[in-house]
Order: sequence, then C-alpha cells, then structure tokens
Amino acid sequence: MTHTEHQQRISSYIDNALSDKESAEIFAHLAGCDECRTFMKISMRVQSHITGEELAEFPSSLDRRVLGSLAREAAEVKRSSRSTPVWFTRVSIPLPAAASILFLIIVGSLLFSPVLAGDRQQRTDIPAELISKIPSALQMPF
Amino acid sequence: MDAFEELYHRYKRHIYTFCLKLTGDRFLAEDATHDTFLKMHHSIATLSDVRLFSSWLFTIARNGVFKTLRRHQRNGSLDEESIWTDETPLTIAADGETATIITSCIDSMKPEYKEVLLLREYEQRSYEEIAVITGNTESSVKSRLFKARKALAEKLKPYFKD
Repeated sequence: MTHTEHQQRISSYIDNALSDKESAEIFAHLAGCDECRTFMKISMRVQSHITGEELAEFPSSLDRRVLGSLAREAAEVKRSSRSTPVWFTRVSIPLPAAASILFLIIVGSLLFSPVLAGDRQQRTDIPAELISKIPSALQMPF
Repeated sequence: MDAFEELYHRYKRHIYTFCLKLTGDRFLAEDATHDTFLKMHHSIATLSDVRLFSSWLFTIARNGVFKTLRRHQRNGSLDEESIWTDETPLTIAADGETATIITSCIDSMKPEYKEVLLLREYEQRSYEEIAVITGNTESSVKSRLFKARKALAEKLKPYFKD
C-alpha cells in the first residue's frame, strides 16, 4: 500500500469511518512512517481548529432585513388574495354539464318565448273556413 | 412566534457562518443568508421529509453561495485540479501563529474543498449528508475531503516540524 492510500484511510479514520481492524492496521503503519504521522498530526490539528471555532456573530441588521422581506411578502400575498373580485373568480364546469345547461337555456327560452307563444295563438285563431278559402297551392304547411 | 420564525432563529447563525466561511465576505454572506431564508419560505411545501430539513436548508445556502461566487467571479483559478484560489496562504500568514495560519490556509482554499471540510468538521455532517447538500456521491465527498486535508498538510508542514 502506498503513502497516499494509507493517508486516504487516515482521512477516513479522522471521520470515524473505519472499522476497529482497519484502525489497528493504520496505527501499525503509523508506528513506522513519519510522513503519514505528519499527515495525521496536521489533519487532526486542522480538525480541532475548525471544530473549536465559534459561530459567527449574526448582524442585527440582517435580522431586520430577512424578517422585513418576509413580512412584506406575506402582506403582498394577503392583499392579492383579498383584491380578486368574485366575478373574476374562475369557475370550472365540465364540458357535458356546460353543454346541457346551454341546451336547457335555449329550449326553455324557445318554449316560454312570448313571441312564439303569441304566434301559436294566432295560428290557432285562424278560422278553418278561411283556411279552406286559400287556394291549395298557396297553403303553407304548419 | 410562528413556526417559520422559530426555524429561522434556530438556523440563522449556522447558515450565516457557513456562507461567511465559504465566501470570506460579509456582504456576500448576508445576501446569501437573506436569499436562503426567503427561498426556504417559498419552497418549504416542496420538502418531502421533514427529517431532511437542515440538509435541505444547507443545500439552498450552498447553491446560493456558489451562484453568487460565480457571478462575482471569485473562483479565481480556472485550474479545476487546483485546491487553492489565486491567493497564496503562506504569504498571507507569513508571521502568524499556527491558528492564524490554519485559518488563512482554509480561507484560501477553493469553495468546493472548503465546503466539504466545513460541513464535516464544523457542522459534523456525515458523508451521506454532505453528498446530499453538495449534490455529489459519497465517494466523491470522501475523495474531496482527503484532497483538502492532503493539500492543507502540505502547506502547513513547515509549521509542524518537531
């Protein structure tokens, strides 16, 4: 095994990702290898340096900025949901239902139309004798 | 206090610190933190498993930081294989103490190496979580961690002579 391969395993050891057997093998190698010992020593020093660092101080201006942006966004959403009038609200109806409703409206309007009703009344009001007087060529079928 | 505010206060320092360490710039870190929490507010409904919340939040922060860094062209070197940015850590911290030198070296690493170190050492994340956050495989995370440690060890070797 090369130094690089040993050092890859040392890196895994630092991350607690080696089995006991693999760790023992690494320590056996470290006993006789200055180069890998230096790598491990420095890597562990870097690790303790990073883990020992404090979290950065959070700027209070950033608190105001983030929470302000979110409050503005929430207000915007609220305003836009309120400002939509009912008549602009989309209503979704299935096509067959819409066709049936349209059909009923048309038929209903024809049935109850005063023009047609009057028309029907006029026709029935025509006396039969008048009809009989009309030359058959001019009689229109009802 | 609503649930969102509670989450915000619980994670804000972790996210801000992560962004600050990745960017090395207070203003960029503030922008990235702001955008992270706004995006969290917009997209919280898309989170399928609440146990993944913190990884999901770090993913948003990380993607935001990388987007900002690309925009600001802070990546520096175009050499994909390089672990360092254009700055030379040892010139920055020539006369510093060990801690200062380590900080300088970490600050000088490219963000893709810095992020795995920070998530592993600082946030104590598992390989699996880091893979989720960074959008990589676990083996890629392990390999990147090793490369970062190896590069740091090489840079720091002169300061650790017995």
